[in-house]
Amino acid sequence: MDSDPGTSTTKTAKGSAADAVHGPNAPQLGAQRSPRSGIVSAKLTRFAAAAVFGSCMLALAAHARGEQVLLLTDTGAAPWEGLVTARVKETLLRNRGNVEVFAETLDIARSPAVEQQAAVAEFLNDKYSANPIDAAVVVGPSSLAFLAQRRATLFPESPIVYGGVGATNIPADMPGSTGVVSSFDLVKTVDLALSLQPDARRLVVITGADARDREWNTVARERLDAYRGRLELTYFAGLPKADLLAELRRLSSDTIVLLLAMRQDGAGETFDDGPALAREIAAAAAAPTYSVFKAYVGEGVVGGYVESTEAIADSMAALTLRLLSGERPADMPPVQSVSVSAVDWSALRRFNLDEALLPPDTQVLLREPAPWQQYAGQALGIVALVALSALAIVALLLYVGKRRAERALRQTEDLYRHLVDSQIDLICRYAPDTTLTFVNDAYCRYFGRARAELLGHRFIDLIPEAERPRVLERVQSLVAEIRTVSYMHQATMAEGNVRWQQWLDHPIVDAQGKVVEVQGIGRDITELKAAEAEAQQRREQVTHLTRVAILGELSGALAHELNQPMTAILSNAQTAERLLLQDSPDLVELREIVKDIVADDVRAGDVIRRLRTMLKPGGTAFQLLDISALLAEVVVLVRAQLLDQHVTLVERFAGPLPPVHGDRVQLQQVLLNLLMNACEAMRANEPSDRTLIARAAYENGFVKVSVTDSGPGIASHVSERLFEPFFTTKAEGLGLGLSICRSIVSLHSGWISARNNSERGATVEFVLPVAQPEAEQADQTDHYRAVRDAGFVDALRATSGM
Amino acid sequence: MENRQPLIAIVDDETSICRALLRLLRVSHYRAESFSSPIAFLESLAERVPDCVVLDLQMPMMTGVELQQHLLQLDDPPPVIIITAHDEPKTRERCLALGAVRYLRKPIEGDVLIDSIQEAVTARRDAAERSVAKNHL
Repeated sequence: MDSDPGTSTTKTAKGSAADAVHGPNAPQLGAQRSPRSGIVSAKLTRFAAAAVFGSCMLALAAHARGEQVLLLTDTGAAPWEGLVTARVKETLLRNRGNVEVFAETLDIARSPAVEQQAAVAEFLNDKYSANPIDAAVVVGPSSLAFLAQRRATLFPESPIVYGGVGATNIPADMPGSTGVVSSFDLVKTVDLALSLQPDARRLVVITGADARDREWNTVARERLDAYRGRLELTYFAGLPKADLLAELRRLSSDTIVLLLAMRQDGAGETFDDGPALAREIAAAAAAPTYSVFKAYVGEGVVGGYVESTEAIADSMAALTLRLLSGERPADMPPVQSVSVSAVDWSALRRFNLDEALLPPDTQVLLREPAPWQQYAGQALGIVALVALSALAIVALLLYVGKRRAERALRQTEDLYRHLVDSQIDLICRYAPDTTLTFVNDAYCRYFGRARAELLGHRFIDLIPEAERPRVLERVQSLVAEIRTVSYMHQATMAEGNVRWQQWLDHPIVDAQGKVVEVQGIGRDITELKAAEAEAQQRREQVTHLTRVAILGELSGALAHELNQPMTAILSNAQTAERLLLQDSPDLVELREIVKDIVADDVRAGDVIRRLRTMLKPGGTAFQLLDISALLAEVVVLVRAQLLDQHVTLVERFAGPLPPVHGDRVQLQQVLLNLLMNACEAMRANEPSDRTLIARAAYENGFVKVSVTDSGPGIASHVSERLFEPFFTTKAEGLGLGLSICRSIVSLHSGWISARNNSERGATVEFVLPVAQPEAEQADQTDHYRAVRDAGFVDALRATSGM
Repeated sequence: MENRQPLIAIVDDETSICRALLRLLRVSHYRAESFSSPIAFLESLAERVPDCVVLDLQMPMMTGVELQQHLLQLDDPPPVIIITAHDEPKTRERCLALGAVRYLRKPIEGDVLIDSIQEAVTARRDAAERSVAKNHL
């Protein structure tokens, strides 16, 4: 369950009253208490009261001194997390007489800032200082990392039992801990797929764009290497979701789709609800989808070799019970989780897969029951807990009297205010017209204005005029669609300078589902932006140098290309001289000669101009481009080279192409590179056998360009590294060509791939989205910047020796 | 026979070069014809063999060197003057070994080309006259 996308959950405003009180980033410190304890603490806080009405949680501190177990989860919202905590708790309560089980959600995914986590840790320390914890049960990798970082100060004495974490997530020095280690068997999952699809020819592996998603990609490449030769391996790593879905729709049915972790896509969108994403992906895929996450089976995913959530919970509970009976963690080595192969019957049916082909010990799950049925027991338990809690509150309120309740409320408010004000993050609330209704201290300090100057004023006025329409549009969209939106913009400080901020804005709805306010959490990213600009500059330098290098390789051919018109010009001019020496020169002939000279001069000038554009270092300038015209221009530059190397170029353009939005020079560089590589690849062929096919076609909203050679093809040990920086098979090559191509293509929101042709030779293909209306373009550039930079990190690291 | 102007063939896939050289040769009182395809030129040989061939090296379908080899199969191959924009010592040796009388780099000085043609045509005519004289003896 390590890296299950479901572990990161950001709630949207869909009707959670708890959110309305805490806002998305205030730590939610709801604690659940075992229903066994009848004693209700006086430390009832407004937090908890809100939590009871909202997320069915009740914050209580324990007084009775029995055995105390603390369950730590990140958001507690992923179904498997809920299942594990509920089952562990149930087992503990059933087996120990006087155990008390507390549960805390750390909310790391939603409040990743160091200060916020520190505040949570401090709170936990305070809360449990009087009630030592006998065992901390930690669910999921982020919770474990949270605790590991603070091992010395937070529950230093308490032994730890972890679960739902992969081997790589377990810190090396974690004294006093044991747990259940998840293993995800990619190979067995692919084997399962192969037993269902014995004729499969291709394996497509899906991973997302965030750090942990990328780790998955690395692991997959390592483990699945064994299938090379048998299956054509394709990695859809970090694609924007829309592109991914489009690709999946195009797959042929003899493909195996393996969905791994995708917490974020290449466009920067995060997916809180893993199973929902799996459902969308499996529905789009034209071939059966498999996964290693149990939560995905039943969402349209055919199946996989998956862990049993129940077995994890049982192992964790068993380890905890042993700790409680006095065993030492040092004597209890971590245990491996148990996996089984499981398939979803309805998904089998969708693809007409034969059940008879399944390995003998496979679990065939019928259609999953609705969540209500599935979690009926838990749900009833929760209802009972809410009812009990509500009764308890009533009793408490009656008992403690008004004054005590007021004091408790005041304390809570103080705590809350302290938490909000001590943040270095900027926190604000505003009406849909951007009028500020709340700002924290950090916000006032940052903008250099007094609170009174800010409240009741529209924050849009702080934003430079040019950016206002875009920001207003974002606000309108989050209000209209009720979703959390992450975006960045600039704002003018009191001193008049402009700084960048990143905002996470979250709408707050009333009982009718109408947005009343928006809560924004922001931070300054001016330095980050500057670093980004610098990276961009270096990227451009590298791109430029590679371009210069290619043109250098072409220099001989280009000299030829200039020599031709010059030869004609010289002969024409010298002929004209001779004609003029005659008594009655032929004026008609002279006129023709001058006309030819002008035409040849223009032609030579064109070549020089093109060369100069490509040699000129420069920024990126996006415009609407016709790919076939671009290709024609590049062909002029390589024509002589093709001729020289006896390469026959076949151009196959399918009709007029819709324009793409791109940088002329950079896209020409890609085309140039691909054509040159294709020539290079055919060097060993007989001169009569060097055919290069350039294709361009429109397909489903994309312009697809491919260059096919008839060389020996890509060696299998090379294919996976083809687009890596500094990887080259040429003796004199720098190995940046294709990696720069990839970066350029991803800067253009497209992607590039290479494959061997079925008969012989290789095809390198890139796809660019067709240009969209203005407004969406700006949006996309924003989104894709992240992808582009990711692609360049390696190259930059290498050039700067980082 | 004495008064007949020599016929020069220009073979270059670049039509603007063909046109320019054609003019240069005509203004210099040669009869000239141009071919932008080596195949068309080879076909024309059935009707008439020129007195000199001005031949470009880089052409699609057939290179100048290959064309030169074809010409060598004729009974009385005409002299060949190579013109090229892409000077490589190896190719140069190859062409000269196959009997090219001159190897000129583009762009070509008009005077140099005319002189080369004149030399080649004269040498060929002299050789022909010598062989006629020999036969008469």
